[in-house]
Amino acid sequence: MNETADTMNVPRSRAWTLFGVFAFVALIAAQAYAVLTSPPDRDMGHLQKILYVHVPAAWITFLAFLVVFVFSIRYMWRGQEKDDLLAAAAAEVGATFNGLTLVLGMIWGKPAWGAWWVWEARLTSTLVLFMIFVGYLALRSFVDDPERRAQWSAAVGAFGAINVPIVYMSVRWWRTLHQIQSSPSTMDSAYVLGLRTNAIAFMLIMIYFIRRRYELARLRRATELIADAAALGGK
Amino acid sequence: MQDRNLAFVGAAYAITWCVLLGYLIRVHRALGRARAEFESASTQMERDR
Repeated sequence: MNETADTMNVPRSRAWTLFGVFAFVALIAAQAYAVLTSPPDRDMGHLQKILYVHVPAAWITFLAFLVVFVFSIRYMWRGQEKDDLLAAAAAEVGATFNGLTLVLGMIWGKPAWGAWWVWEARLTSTLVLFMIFVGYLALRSFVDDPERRAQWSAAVGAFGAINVPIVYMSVRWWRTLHQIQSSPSTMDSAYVLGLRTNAIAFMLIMIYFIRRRYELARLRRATELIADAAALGGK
Repeated sequence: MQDRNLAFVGAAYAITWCVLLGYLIRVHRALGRARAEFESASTQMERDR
């Protein structure tokens, strides 16, 4: 770890602000398109419209935890603090989308299954994934030494992300109440474009959130490094 | 039945936007504070030199 306050500092960026505005406008447009144009499902009626928020939230959870996995491994390989901070930013964003996925699933489950929660493989494995990353974030807040925090976080982040394929495949490996994964070939074409555009909009928001959270982590670290330098007499 | 389902759909979209906007505001506020603290610490260090 040979970072200094100067290398950690992140200059203000108008481009990222514009990117964020674009991401949110894209989500409004995608949701408006999907909700207004998709016909009610034969069995589920208008409940089908929850698909456009629940499924993208789940996909984005997986994607964010993939970022955690990649940058945790990269930190273990290279030992650069910026990789740890990026993994942590993605973990927080991923945990937020994971929590949202669970809540949206419960809202869908009550009218569809008659229960807010069922202890079946998909729901339980998603809850376990959420708890692992809440634990990851708690671990980071408990450990003060940046190097030790980064090492432990990288191990937990890489281990936690390994659960993503288990969650994804749980509907095939075990008998579950949750339906198996849909694909454009198994889905009514009236719903495909709406789902894709919402997934892209969610992905843009995820990128924006990770970038801003990473910027925040770097600024905080830069301030800590200045404080450390001041304590050592400005060296 | 359909009206009841629409209430669940409305709740799902409302919660989604609450979470997204809530997280956006939280991170932006923290970012503003962190930038102010960083600039204050940098200025202080320059003065001490």
